[in-house]
Amino acid sequence: MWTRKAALILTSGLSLVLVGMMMSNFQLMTIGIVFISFLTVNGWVSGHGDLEISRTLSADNMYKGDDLYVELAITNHSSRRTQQLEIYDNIPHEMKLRSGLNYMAVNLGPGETTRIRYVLRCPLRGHHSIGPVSIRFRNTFNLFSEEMFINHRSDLVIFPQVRDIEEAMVRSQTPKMYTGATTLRTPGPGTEFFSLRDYVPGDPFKIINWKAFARTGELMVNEKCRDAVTDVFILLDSREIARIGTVLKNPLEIGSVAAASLASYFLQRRDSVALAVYDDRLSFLPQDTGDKQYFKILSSLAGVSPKGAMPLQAVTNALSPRFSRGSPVFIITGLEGDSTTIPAIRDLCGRGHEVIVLSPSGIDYERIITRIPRMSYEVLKLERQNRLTAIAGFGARVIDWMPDVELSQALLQVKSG
Amino acid sequence: MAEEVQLQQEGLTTLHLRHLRKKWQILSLQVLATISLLWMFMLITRTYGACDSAVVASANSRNALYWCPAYDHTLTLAWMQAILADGMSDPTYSLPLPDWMTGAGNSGDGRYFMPIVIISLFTAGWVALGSQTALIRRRVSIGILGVAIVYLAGIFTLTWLWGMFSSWSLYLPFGQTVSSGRNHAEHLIGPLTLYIQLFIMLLVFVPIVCGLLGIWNLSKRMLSWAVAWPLLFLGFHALLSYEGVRANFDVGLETLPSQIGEATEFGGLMSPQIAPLLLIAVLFIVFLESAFAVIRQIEYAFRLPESCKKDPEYVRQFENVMNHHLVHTVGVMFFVWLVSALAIKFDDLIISLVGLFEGNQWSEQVRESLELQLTYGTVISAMVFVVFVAGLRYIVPWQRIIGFIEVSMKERSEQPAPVVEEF
Repeated sequence: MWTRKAALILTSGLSLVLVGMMMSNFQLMTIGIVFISFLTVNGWVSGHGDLEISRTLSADNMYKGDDLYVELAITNHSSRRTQQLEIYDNIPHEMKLRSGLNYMAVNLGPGETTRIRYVLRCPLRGHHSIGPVSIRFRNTFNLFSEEMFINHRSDLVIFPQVRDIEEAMVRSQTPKMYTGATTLRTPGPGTEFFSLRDYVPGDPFKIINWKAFARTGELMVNEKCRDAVTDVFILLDSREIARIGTVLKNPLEIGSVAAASLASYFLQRRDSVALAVYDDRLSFLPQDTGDKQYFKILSSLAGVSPKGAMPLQAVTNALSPRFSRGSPVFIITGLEGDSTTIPAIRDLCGRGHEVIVLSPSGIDYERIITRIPRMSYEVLKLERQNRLTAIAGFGARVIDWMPDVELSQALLQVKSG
Repeated sequence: MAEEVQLQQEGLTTLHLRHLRKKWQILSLQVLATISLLWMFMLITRTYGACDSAVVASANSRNALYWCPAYDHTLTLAWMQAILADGMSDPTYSLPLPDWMTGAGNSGDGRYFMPIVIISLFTAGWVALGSQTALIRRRVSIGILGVAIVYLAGIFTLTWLWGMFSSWSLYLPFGQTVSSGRNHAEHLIGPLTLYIQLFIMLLVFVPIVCGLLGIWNLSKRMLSWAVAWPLLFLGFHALLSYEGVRANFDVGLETLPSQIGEATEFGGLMSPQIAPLLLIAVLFIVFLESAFAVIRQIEYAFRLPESCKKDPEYVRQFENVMNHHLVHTVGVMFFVWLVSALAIKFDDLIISLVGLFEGNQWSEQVRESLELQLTYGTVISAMVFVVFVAGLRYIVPWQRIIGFIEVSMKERSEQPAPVVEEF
């Protein structure tokens, strides 16, 4: 593509040639011809984007707010020089450059390699993709340019931050009935030793007690005490209304942080954790324990985005067969724009579940971005307080979570009826 | 795949401004731009610095001064000195700036050497000042302005005030009789003459002043002036020396030849009339591109974050880009000159080619065709040649050829030295 400068030189050259011809002035004509020759000779030089790109990331998965180290290796495998290229590695607009630069002007000879190294800060959770690589050839004298892409992408999952809430959970008024895994004096899946028994076909080799086999000459296997675990259910409100506030500070963002932190806390205690996210549909991750479940929960939370308006009642109705009897249910919702919230929580409490409602105050998030008249704000706050009081009245524990309050602090502010 | 990623390295050479200023590639481009500017200026003065020979002869026969808007400041200074000497009835009067400084009285290129040296010193001082703090720059600028104002109005104001105080009466400093000692406006003549003299010199040396400041003080605005001024002059010269204009309004400018003469220079490639014109045009582009490239590349380096300025990869690629800019400047500009010269000569080539078909009526007609040898024929044939050259891009894979040469040179330089076995 011709640049504006090239177009200007061509028109100037032609004009000078024509004016020179009309006035029989060889100087003007010569300048005109030189201008046009300049374009012509430069036309011989063209760049190419026949490059091999490889991008290395310091991590494929990381937590929100962490730094990502990126290295982009660019090799010219062609037998001719690339000429002057500008290489730009496209990064998601949510990410911020912390050090280095995702851009470099290069002129690579045949077989030459160069490396662009930069550090990104990832302030937003989600599934992101770095790339493609944009390449722009610019003629040495900036007369011609050509834009190319190399569709090389690297995927990346940014998990929500996980806060340490152990101390807060101990000190808070949240019920202590789910104290983590407790061993029962019966054989079953667990961690502590219970007894030895004879090997039966089908038993995994890894539980064979080789010392006992050496001593007795018969295959014996270890049996473990059965661990009793509590099933914890976390319900996260990801409806459209949860996006209110700024990109970094809104009920959904801090709700996902809370869900991740709770899940981490309970999984570390070897409880089973289930996650339900409701937006325009319900996504349910059945209860399980262990690191795999932790990874699954974080991955699910990373992909959460605000959409839809599914009522909570529909969620609880759909999940009621899956809820274990008497299990605690954490509901993370702003309690806005859903008239079924109160009956749904009433039903859950009525069925004997320990319900804890962690409610980011939507009206206060809205106040960050827009000016709400004082009277309107007071009325809306009063309505919200009434809603919280009503929920607390059913026996649920309610946490009114203000925007500038840390999760661990918020957990200490449990209000019960 | 997640892997260990190296952090940005730090090398010994960086892309900080203080290092860039000393980088040989940057200095080469600046020197190239300076040489092109000075050479272009000298060629312009040689080509456009004289009045019409008829005007000169007529003035010489009358032993009178002559003036024309040629690109020569000494003409205007001599004319101004004569007018002032006449007005003061003092034939020995000379302008405040001495002749050795302005180049007046010299002939040929000697008229420009001393002013160029002085301008270069001034530019060097200004560039050095540019590296000082803003406070010092401001103080020096205000100081120069203050001295200029005091020199212009200081003696005038002091003598006027002292005159009013000593005579104890209020009066205007002008319009008084000279003998009364109250015509203090006389004190303005000297400084004003100096400033006018400087202004006249500045008008001629604008490309040098602005060009040098643009190249060494990295100012795009100055470079634009340095480029625009010669173009404006060439445009006015073309207009004023145009036959149609001269018929009604002749300012006595020397006209360029309207015919290309016999090609005797560069092995018969071009005529002596065209050679300087072509060189002016080529040097104009070399100056423009080199000077702007320096600023463009320094701007790129300046905008890089601190970590990238120290990163050896960025430094290496910057050097790559600069090296190839230099290579292209030399290579492309040589070809531009060659293609332009061949294009202008192409009409001759066509006639010579047609001459091969001797005995043919058509070939005889073409050989004797005046149109082909006149301006229109020259330009049209030149354009045909340029289009042909543009098409060569698709025929000759020269970039690939150069690439192969580069690869083979690289392989040869990377080959280990043969092991000499001792017996």
